[in-house]
Amino acid sequence: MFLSVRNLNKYFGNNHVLNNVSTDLKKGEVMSIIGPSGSGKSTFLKCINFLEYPTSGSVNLNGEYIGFNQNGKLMSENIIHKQRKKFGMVFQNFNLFWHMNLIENIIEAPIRVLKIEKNKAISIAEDLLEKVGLIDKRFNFPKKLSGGQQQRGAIARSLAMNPEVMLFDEPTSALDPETINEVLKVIEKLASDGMSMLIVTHEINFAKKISNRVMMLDEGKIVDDTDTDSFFSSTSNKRKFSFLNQGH
Amino acid sequence: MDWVFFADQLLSPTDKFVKAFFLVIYMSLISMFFGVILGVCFAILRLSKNFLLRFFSFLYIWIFRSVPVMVWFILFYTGFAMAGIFRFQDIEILNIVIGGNVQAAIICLSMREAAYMAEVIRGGILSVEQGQVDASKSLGMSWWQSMYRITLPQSLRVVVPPMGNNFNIMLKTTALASVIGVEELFLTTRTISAATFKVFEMFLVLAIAYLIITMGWSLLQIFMEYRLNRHEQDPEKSFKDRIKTYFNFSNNTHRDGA
Repeated sequence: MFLSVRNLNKYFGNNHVLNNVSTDLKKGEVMSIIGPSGSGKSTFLKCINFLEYPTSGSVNLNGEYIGFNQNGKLMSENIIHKQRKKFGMVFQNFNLFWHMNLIENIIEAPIRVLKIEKNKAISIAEDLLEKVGLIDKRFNFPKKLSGGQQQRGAIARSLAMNPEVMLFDEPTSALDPETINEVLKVIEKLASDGMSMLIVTHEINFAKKISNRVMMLDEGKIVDDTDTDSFFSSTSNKRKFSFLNQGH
Repeated sequence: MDWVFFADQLLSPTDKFVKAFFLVIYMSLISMFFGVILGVCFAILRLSKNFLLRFFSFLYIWIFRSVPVMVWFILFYTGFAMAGIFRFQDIEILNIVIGGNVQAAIICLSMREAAYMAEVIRGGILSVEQGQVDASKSLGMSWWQSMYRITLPQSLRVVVPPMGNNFNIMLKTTALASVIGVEELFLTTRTISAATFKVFEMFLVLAIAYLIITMGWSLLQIFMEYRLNRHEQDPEKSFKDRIKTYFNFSNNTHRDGA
């Protein structure tokens, strides 16, 4: 299996946020993660790249243990920092570095972390900006960009690290309905290019359209985790049925 | 009031006075430099996960903010020498003799500044959004890379105004070094006024000298803040138009945050 997550548990104090979550992702597959607010979706994503340390469990990417070694022991911070670059992450609030312009945002990590030469990093960045349709905005600072443009820039920034998996944490939740589409189109294009992705989203229709698999979480537990067609056609699960039929 | 004496001292000050003027500037700049660097270290220690490091930083800040810097001057310079612990010797760098008492003063000022700057920088670091740090981490940046490329530069926006405050205070605190015989502006002025009995005139000149120094700093700070606000500026506008907003003394470009 390309990405496999086993028995992930996360506690915040006594609050059991993730309860034995396990799932698998094949290379090139897109999985959408849905569920009500506070169900642990975002925490689940953050536990995969160890932005948040899970309490226990195992994450394995392409045969390499991430964060916890195979005996479940936490690796050193240094190793975890290096492992994180295998995962691209896109945030709800974009989180572009506001003190840098768009191109500086994109070349920062490739230069510092991957030690790519500056000229080469710039040409990679320009290709990516072309891809997300922001090449004419490359010298703009994030403040001078719309939300949709910032999010597309943020996607380009994480792609510049050449990640093996992309993690999207509600990428369109902070956008107005009109700009949502420009971001969704970029994500769709990535999917058709064969990028493996985990997408936390509230856009049920988008999830239906783009994903191979859908997982639903509620109170930290998996309600359902199956291929898209069967996820939306089977209505036996009451919790899922009520969630999907509340006017989304 | 002897206006001729006043004008004379103001427009063609004695060599001693000019020397004292530059001594105040370089003592302050050097102390500020070390103060800021140490301040960053103590701020980071204060935010560490390790209790002992946090406590060490807390202890340092508490001690150096609590004891008046005048007491430190005497403890370090006179006290150490009298107790036979350490005697500051004059050293010569690039033909400039730096007196032992000047060195002691710079050390004390730096250490005091570090304590105050640590708190200012800690506030700056805490002002940086967690999302910015998360983003840098998710790109594989190490703790240190994320600290000096993202967190510290972003904290400057919050750090620079109080740092200007601290530097302004520092310029004037150098006057206290007169207790260990550092011939800075205050002591020099007192010597001249005692010899000439022109106390009012001389101290007026001194006040103007301090005004000139702080004006220099204020200009520097305006350019620093201009530079830090690069992300707010319209690249189409000319430098002259952009810098103008910083000279109308009401720039509120920070108001809506990042």
